[in-house]
Amino acid sequence: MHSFETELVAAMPQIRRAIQNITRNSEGTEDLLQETLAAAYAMRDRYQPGTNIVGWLVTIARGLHVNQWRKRKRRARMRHLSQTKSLDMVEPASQDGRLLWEDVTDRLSKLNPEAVKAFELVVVEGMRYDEAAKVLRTPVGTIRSRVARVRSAVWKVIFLDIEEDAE
Amino acid sequence: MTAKGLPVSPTFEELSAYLDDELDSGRTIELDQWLRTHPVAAGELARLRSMEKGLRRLVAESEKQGEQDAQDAIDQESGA
Repeated sequence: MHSFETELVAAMPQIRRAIQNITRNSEGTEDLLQETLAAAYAMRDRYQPGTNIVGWLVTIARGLHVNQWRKRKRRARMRHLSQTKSLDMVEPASQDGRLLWEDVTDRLSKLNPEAVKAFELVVVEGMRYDEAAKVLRTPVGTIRSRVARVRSAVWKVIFLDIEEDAE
Repeated sequence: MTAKGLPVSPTFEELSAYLDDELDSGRTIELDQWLRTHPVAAGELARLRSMEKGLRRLVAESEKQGEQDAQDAIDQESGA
């Protein structure tokens, strides 16, 4: 009888090689391997013993890798944008064209994460309040007030800078 | 409406909901009128709207690029 754990241990060398192929990076390989194993263990009920455990794990690893890559690229792009001031094309922050993006993200990082999540769902993702309320399992009125609270913080960053620059 | 028939000044939460098109039609009309008589507030609202529009565009572009990069990397690894 093959338990999930037994099959997993037996397949480890193949899984490691497959993940090395995905990452091309030994440090990244270990991280992805650990995350893959953790995800696989969490989803072990979905695996049918005796089927292709290597293929199943590689599918999980690829999905995780895509997500990691996406997050890294997003962070890198945001950093790049803030450094190159290309957010100027969105809205100049002041007379010298200084970017507000770092100030805005810094402010967001200090706010209630649940409120920021509501703001992201509505303002960035374009959800209606009732849709965001379902996702976050909270009343529509709470979404409305959270979005306003975060927007108010962003508003202050934008317009406070303008006032300071005008002095 | 005030006694003189002017729209009641909005709270920030109302302005926020206005930006998200989440006010009822009656209050939306009132705020349209109020903004016509308060050009500074209207300008700030337009500025915030513009920045949020830019934010959405940047996030969409970065996600699209990230997905493409990830797919390219996987294709490269699998010899596709």
